[in-house]
Amino acid sequence: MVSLERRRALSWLGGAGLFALSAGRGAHAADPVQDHAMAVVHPARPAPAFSLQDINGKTHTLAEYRGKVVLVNFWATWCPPCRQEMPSIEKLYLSMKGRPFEVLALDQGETLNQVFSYMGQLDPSPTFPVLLDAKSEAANAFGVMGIPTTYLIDKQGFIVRQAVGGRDYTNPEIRRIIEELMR
Amino acid sequence: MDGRIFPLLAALACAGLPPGSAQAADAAPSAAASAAQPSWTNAGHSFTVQLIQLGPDNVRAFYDNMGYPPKAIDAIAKVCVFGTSIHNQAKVSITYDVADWRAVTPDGQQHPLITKTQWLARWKELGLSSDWSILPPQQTLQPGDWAQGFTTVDLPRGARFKLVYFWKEHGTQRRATLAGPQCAAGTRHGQP
Repeated sequence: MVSLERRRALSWLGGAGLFALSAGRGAHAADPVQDHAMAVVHPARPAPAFSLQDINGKTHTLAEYRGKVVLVNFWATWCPPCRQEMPSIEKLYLSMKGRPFEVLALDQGETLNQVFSYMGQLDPSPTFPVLLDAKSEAANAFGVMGIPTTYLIDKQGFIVRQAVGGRDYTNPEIRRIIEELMR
Repeated sequence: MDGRIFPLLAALACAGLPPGSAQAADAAPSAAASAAQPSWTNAGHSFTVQLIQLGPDNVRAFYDNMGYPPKAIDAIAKVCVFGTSIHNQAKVSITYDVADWRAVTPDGQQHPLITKTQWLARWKELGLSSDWSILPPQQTLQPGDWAQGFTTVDLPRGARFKLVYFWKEHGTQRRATLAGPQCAAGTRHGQP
């Protein structure tokens, strides 16, 4: 059983190591990394197909979102920068309601219970599909090296932008890029 | 409140680290930092590295919570582990390969880091085929990209070293040194 105490211990370890790194970054970095936009992927390449279940048991394929701009985010609940950027992804998602834009967040290697319990801790809690990439097959197909890594897929199904490391997805430049891709 | 300050404070509160405990380039850890997890930062380069010392208890707790097999946990808890953050501060893409990096001890000996690739090879027989906790072994980082993960090196508890690390920028290999990192002492229970 992954008890609350153990989850707290995990959080603490995040604090001891990875989370504290976020702190250190803020302490010394003159460069606001969270404000960087997403790099151009050149040449654009076809996004690998995947079919995964979300935390509600519904199956999603990437192909079903053809014709929309899709932000695919690879993450995990224990990953501090993933946690940090998640609310900004939700804000972006909500601001794009009714537009040809979708967010798919692919959790890496965790159980449904782990992910589900974490969702309730987020404010705002994600309303976009959170998929379980339990064996990291989709991540490997995309060539993800570390998390968080996020891709923008155009309406034709090509990966056109990527971000390695956390971002603030309310960044106007990222929004401008998405608006351009939706045209 | 500045959007960057809140996560900083939250992280510091979570970590028990006082603000400003991250070290300047090539500096020794401060007394404040040593009260929690000492850290070493190498600012002033286009590719920066920050290390945070982790004790074996921390490492065990982390991997235990991740559900790793006990033998896999034993293996990584025996070596020096550092929480690591890397950041491409350049205006161009950079590439790195952790296999090129070295921990150089005061006696001049060069110790290669144990890469994620090597950990996966060691852990394979234990049924682990994937891991997101160890720093990616090689990567191309675009301007502004950054990454976090653990770096590991097989040195005695308490050993000091300087990290000599390399990256390629515009096809040119560059090198920097991060002085002062120290492996954590043993566990509170006297385990290795």
